[in-house]
Amino acid sequence: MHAMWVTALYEFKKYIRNRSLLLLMIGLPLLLIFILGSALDIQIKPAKVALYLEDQGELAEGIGSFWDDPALTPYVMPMKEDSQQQVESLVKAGKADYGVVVPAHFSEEVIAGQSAEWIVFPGRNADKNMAAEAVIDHYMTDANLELAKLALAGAASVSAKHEPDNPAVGEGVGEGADSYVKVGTLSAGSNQIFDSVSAVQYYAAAYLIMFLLYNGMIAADAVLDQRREGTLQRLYAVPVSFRGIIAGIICGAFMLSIFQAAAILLFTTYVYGVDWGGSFGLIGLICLLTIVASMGFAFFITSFKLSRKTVNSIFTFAVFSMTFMSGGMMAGVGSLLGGADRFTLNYWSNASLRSIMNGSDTDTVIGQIIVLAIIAFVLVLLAAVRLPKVVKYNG
Amino acid sequence: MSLVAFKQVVKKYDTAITVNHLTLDIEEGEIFGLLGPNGAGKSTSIHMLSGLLAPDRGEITVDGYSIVKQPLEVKKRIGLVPQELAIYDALSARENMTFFAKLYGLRGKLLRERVDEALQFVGLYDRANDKPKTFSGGMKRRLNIACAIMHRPKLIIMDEPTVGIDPQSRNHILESVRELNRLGSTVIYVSHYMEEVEAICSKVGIMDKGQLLAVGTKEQLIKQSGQEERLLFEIAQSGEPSIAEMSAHPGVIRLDASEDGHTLEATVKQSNTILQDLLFILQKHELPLRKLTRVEPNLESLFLQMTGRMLRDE
Repeated sequence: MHAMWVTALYEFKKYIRNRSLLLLMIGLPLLLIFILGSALDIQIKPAKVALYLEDQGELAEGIGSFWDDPALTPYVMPMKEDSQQQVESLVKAGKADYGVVVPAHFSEEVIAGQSAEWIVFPGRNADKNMAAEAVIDHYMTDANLELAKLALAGAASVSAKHEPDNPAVGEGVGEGADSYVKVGTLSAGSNQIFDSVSAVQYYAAAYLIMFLLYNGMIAADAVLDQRREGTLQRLYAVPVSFRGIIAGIICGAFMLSIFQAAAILLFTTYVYGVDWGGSFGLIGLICLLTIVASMGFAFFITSFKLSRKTVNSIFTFAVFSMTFMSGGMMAGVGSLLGGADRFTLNYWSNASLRSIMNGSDTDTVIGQIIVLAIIAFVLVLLAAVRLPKVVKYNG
Repeated sequence: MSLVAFKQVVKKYDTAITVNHLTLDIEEGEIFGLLGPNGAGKSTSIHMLSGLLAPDRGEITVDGYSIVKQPLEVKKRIGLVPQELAIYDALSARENMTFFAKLYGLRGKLLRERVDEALQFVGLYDRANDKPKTFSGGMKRRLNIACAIMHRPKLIIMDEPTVGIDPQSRNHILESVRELNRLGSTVIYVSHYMEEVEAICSKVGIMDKGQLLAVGTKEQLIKQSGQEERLLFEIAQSGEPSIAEMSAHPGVIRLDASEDGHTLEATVKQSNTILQDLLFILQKHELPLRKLTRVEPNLESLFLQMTGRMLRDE
């Protein structure tokens, strides 16, 4: 054990002094997370709508309830104002993204069957204008539809009191009552591509896993380098178990992986504001299993006595392919590949991380971690069987 | 009991026998030179001795401990100086040595003292905190040695320790080997440089094709081989007149002359006894001597005689 820890400590010391390695293993993933997370974060921010409800007629309460509906919150943020001038000035000043005035005679005109309209003041931001107008369009469409129904039914007057669930036609929605006008999803499920997390969360998980996977090859290379440079020969000649030496070399790479994972997690949490979901124990377990799996995989392919360049190429290709197939480079690729992503190591690591991030139930998370653990176990077992071929001194 | 004993040791790689029933004893206190052409089995023998490879048959013991049955006990008594520079560029000289010293079981104050001692011994104390990548080749070789001697091993195995270094560093290393031996370590010195082996080794073994061809002191080997001395006479004019008389001398085994007759090469049994006679013959024929060279049998000629002059590719 002493030999193992001494070797691990000195291996870790060598890694920490290798600036280019640290830049590659920590700097690069942080950069990629930042670039992809920022650039692809297409979550729509709610438009601030300055709203003046001048109308006090029968439809006023329903209109008010419509704008207060929590379902609209992701898309618009109404700011109730006292006059049209205030609405206009807020939009001009940029303090509101959009302005809406419901004129005083709106209810009266609608009930009389006349054409009625709201006065709108679009802002400078086209996206925000689109969000606000989409909300208004929904209201108007449903209101028109309801009016058409009423016209067909021959109703002479519309009483809000008899249609408490219809905010388009009157009051009475009340607290907790469902709105007749349902607001659709404006973003067309953009966050569904990222599995209900933001883009930066998505890529933070993806690149954490991808770069942890590379550590497997670092561990295998550490043994191959020592063999090539002759230090392994000296290590075999010291009066300690060579298994301890090899375990120490692998542990040194493992310590680097833990350092890398901690650096990425901390930096993304405190600098990028990534919400990892809070369960750092489970996140640590996922990272651990990923690292172990990658080392198993790396030693397994190294055992086939290929040249170092070939082994590195195979490993890099495998990690890159798995990252791509699991959507690590382009979200949503997995579904295009007919579910082939589920056969990658990255899929289970990423899925479990994202489940923690979006607050999925514990059973889901544990189930995904179990699959990851099984994969890691199989790879380690294969590596353990083949390891003597990597470490045996052949003269 | 010998410190190191090889008994009928065999090592095969696939069907090729690399070490073929090697039997060799090395006594405590010797500096044992191991010579052989490429592919002779020297490195394989050394690797089996230091526990890197397991023999297929036979027994190797160090200080009575078997390398197969008690490898850790053997390794405690050995310091290996590999042919490759087995040092880490990313660690300073002191860190390199501290790392290996810890693996040899040294701790605390004793570890620090031994590291300092070894650094002083190899002349790297002032560069202790520098990294090997800033060292010359000779300095790296010295660090390579230092990493093997901190635990004061009974047996030091040095595999080509002076490859590719300048003469000053080589001289320093050879002196260090003598000093280590004086301090009580037995040394196995593997080298292709005959003059090094002749200069420092008390006993020499010559290997080829996995077998030990000869072992003994240099004088014993030369005597066993029956090699003769040669005397080269360079004379100012043709030595034709003296050839017959010199050839007839009982101490001369053979006399060869160059084409122009200006150089006469006499192969003799013992030059001490007949040199004067031959000089007298030249004087008698009024042949002025320009230069006289005495060529004694040496390890290189013995080596070439035993292993042949053909190139060996490993």
